[in-house]
Amino acid sequence: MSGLFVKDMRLLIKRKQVVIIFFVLAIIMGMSTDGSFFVGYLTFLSGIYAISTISYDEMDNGYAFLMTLPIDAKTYVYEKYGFCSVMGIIAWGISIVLLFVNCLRGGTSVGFAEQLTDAIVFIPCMLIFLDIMIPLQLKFGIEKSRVALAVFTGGIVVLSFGAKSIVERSGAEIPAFIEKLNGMSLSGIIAFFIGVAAVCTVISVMCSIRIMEHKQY
Amino acid sequence: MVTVKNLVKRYGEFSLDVSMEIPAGRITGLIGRNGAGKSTMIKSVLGLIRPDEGQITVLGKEPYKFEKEDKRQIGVALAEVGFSTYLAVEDIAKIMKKLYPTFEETVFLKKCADMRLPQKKLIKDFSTGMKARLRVLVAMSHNAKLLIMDEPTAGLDVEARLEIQDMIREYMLEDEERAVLLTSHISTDLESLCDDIYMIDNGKIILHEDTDTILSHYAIIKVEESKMASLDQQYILKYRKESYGYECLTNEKQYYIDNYPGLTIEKAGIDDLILVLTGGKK
Repeated sequence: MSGLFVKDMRLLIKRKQVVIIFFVLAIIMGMSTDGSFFVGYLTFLSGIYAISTISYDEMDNGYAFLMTLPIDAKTYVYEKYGFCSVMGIIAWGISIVLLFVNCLRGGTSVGFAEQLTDAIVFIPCMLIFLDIMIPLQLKFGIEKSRVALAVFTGGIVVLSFGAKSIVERSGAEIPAFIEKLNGMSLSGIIAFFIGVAAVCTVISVMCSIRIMEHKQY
Repeated sequence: MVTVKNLVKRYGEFSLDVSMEIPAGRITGLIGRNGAGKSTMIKSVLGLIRPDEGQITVLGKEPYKFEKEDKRQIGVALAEVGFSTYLAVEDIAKIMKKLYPTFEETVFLKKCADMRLPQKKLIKDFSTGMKARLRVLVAMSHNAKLLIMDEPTAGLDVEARLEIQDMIREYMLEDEERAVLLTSHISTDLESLCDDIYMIDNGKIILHEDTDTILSHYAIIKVEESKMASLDQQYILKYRKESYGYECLTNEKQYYIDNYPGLTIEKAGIDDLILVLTGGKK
C-alpha cells in the first residue's frame, strides 16, 4: 500500500502550480476572512485534489498495468480512501494553524476555541463527501462520474424537498429525531456527524471494493 | 510456468479458444495479426480479465487468486500502458522500491541512464522508444521469474527494437529458470528471440512450433498451375493462389528439395507462415 501512497503523493507534488496556488489561497483566505468558513473550503478542496489521482490511474487504461503490480482491488481502495482522507486532514490542520494565527493577530471576531469546535465538523463532512465521490469515480470514470454526481445530488435535493412537502401537506409532525437534532449541543452534532461519516465510509469502502473486484481491464 | 487449458473468452462475435504451455528457461512468442487475440490471451494470463471457460495456471496458481508475493514473481510490460505519464523515472524508482523488496534503486537508475532515459523528465515527454525501453526496464527491475510482455517493440525503429531484444536476451542469460512470454506482430523480432512460437488467428492457435524447426524445416514452394497436380501434397500444410500459380507451405522442406530438383523452394519466414496459414486453403 505504501507504494501506491508514494505514487499518489508524487503525482500531486508534480503539479507544482496547483500546490503553490493552494498555499497562496490558504494564506490569503486564512488572513483575510473572519470565521472558519475557509477551513471547510480548503479541506474540501484538498479532498477533491486528492481524488483527482484516480483519474491519473484511469488515464490511458492505466488500471491494467496497476493491477499487475503487487496490489489487489482491496489494497487499492483502502489506499485511495486513506490517501484522500489524510490529504483532507492535512489541509484542515494547515487551515487551523492559519486560523490560530489570524485569531492571534486579532483578525477574527470570535475566539479560536469556539471556531475550532465549529471547524471540527468539516472533517466528517469531508469524509462523507469522499464516500460519495470515490465510488462514483471508480465506477463511472472521470467524465461520467460528473454526470453521475449531478444526478446523485439532484436526486437528494428532489428527495429532501419531496419529503418536506409530504410532511407539510399531510400535516404530520416533524419526525422526532429531526426535532432532537435541532436541540443538540455542538459536541452532540459533531458526534452525530462522525457517526454518520463512519457508517458512510464502511458502506462506501465496501461498494468501492466490489466495483474494483468486478472491473475487467 | 504457465499452463493454459482450453481457455475460452467471448467478446460478442469474437471468441478466444486456446491452450498453451510456457516452460521455464524458454522465450515463448505469441504472434498474430491485430485483433487475433494476443492481448486478450495476455490479460487472461495476468488475471486482468476472467475467462468464460478453461483453466489457467501461472506459477502454480490461478491468476485471479494471486497474492502480493505471486505478483512479485512476474514482470509485466503491456503495450502502451504503464505508470502514469505524469511521473518521472525518479518517481517510478521510489514507487518500485516500496512495492518490490528485490528492487534495487541504484541499479535501476543506472540502467535507465545507460538507456538514455532522463531521471527528472516526465514520461509524457518521452519519445515512443524511450517509453518502450522504460516499460521493459521496469518489468525486468525486480528479478521476476516470469516476464510477460505485450508488444514490447511496437512502433519502434530498428535500433530501439534491437536494444530491447538484447535486454530480454541478457535477462534470460542471468537465470536459466526464468521464462518469457511475449507477443508481437513483428515476425523478425520473434524469429531472433524466441525458442518457440505460437501463432494465433481469429482467437485460435493455428501453429505451435520451435523457431529453429520453422526456420529449418518449413519452406514456401512456388509452383506453376500446370505442375500443381503432379506435386506430392502429403506435406503441404496449406496453399494459396498466386498470379504465377500456387504458393505452398510445407514443413518438410528437405523432402521437396530431394524429390523435386527443379522446384522453386524458398526459406519460410514467420511472415510467410502467417500469410499462408491465415489466408490459404488446406
